[in-house]
Amino acid sequence: MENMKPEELWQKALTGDQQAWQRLYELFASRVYQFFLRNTRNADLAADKTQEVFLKIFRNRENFRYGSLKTWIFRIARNLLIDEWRRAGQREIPSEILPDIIDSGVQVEESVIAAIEHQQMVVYIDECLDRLEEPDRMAVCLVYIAGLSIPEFAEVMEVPLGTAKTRVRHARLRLDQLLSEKIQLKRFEKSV
Amino acid sequence: MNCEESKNLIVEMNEADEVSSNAELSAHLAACSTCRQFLKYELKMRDGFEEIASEPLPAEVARKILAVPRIVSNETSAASPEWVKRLSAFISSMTFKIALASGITGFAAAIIFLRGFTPGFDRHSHPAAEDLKQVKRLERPLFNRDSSFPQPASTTTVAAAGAAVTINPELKKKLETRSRLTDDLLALKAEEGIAVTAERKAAVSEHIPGAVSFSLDENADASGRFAMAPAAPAAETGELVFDEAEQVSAESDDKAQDAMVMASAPKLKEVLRSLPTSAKSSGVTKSEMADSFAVSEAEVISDPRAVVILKFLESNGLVSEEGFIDLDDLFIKGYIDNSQRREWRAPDGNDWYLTRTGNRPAIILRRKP
Repeated sequence: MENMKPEELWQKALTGDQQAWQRLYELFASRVYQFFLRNTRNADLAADKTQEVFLKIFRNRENFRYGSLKTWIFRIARNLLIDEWRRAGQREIPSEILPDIIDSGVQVEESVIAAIEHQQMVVYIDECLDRLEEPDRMAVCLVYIAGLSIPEFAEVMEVPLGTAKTRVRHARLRLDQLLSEKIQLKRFEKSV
Repeated sequence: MNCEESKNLIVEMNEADEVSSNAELSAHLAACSTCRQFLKYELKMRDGFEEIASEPLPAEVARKILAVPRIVSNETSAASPEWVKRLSAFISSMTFKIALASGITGFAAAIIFLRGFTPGFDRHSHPAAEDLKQVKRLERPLFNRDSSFPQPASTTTVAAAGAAVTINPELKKKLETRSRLTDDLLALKAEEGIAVTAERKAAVSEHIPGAVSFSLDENADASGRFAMAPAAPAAETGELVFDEAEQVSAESDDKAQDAMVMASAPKLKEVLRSLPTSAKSSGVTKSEMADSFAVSEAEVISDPRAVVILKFLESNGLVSEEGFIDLDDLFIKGYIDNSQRREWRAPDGNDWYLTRTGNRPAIILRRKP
């Protein structure tokens, strides 16, 4: 089970193999939940949406015949998130046109990077995700939390590969800026 | 490759291990400290995201997701056409009927078997009817091992569950032969130094408390009578039956616990496996290990990864001057892969430190400066 591909696990799960289903759950459930949680900041909603994703893939099992299961799962998750944003009304639907961000060549000294603790970095990321624009946050979550490659991200977002690269790069620049600010601030606090 | 291309590749890489597999990027990183710095930042950031992604789900959500196949199959069965419902209802009712009929038949067969079965049905005792005619009703309680109890001179009696039947001479002969073979085997084992009691222990450990057990008591009668009698109590045989059983089961519990601990700590297992053979086989104590590494015992016990890292550094000729060990640097230089980098990551607030006492190197955890 450990070394089986998600698609193989899926085929076994369809025959009623509970172990295969459990393994799929281990592979994706937490990532899907965190994707919703970081994008909605609502634990109950994230839990409901996560369950909905898994219900949808099982109900529509005939629709998945080939390709990447991960991509299919996160395409459903992404569509559910956009639906949720639409339903909420007050939120703007993410624009397809990205504002320009100039690569300021953010650099943090090696000693500062080395001094950042692992848990500290987790906290910084969490705080910075909140400050990202929705399209950037979605891109960051799909690539770094869901673990999609750039081509997989392109497939989920239903955009050409070039556009996907631009989006990820845009999101990363913004995240790097925010993280850099956090790290520098922390460094300043320490020195004071 | 310039810095811009290098950064793009780092950002777009799917797995951190892709760095070492890209020769051009590796060459650029070896020469460019800015890009090395950026890669270190990237690795830290990805580790942070990985931590977020692996945060466990609330138990209720987990339960619901694991139940999804059952929920969906229930929905499907509820939505199936009428004829499918009727067919499934018919099959399920048939299943019940078949199960009921099998149960009744089985019960009846069991009663017939239990009431009707006697050793006299053995084909060696044929004709059974002839043998049964010779049965002599016992006038005293069964399981009496008193040799003065009157027995028919010409027959061998087996007493069990309130009845006694005779065994024909052919069967008796066979049993005697088997008994002799068993004696020979036990004698042979005793000669070979095999502790027969160990087998006894194993057999005893399977005892069900409160159950009456039977054993063939071949010494019951000098005339060669075989009696089915309750197994001799512990006091009679001088064996600590229940104490031994408890001891054996306690031993097996300990082993099971050990196995569980080992199974639940694969990292620890790996570490133990990679320990120097001398440390494993010669039974070096923790304090001896601590002494040999010139660090406190607590430090050695606290993280066995130190031994693994030291061994790794030694095998790669990386043991040099005292100082902090930069795992990110080892990763960028291709000495370790990303999984090793993550596994060996020092607890927050600490870093691995290479120290020396005399000429002997050691790895300890030290607070970051």
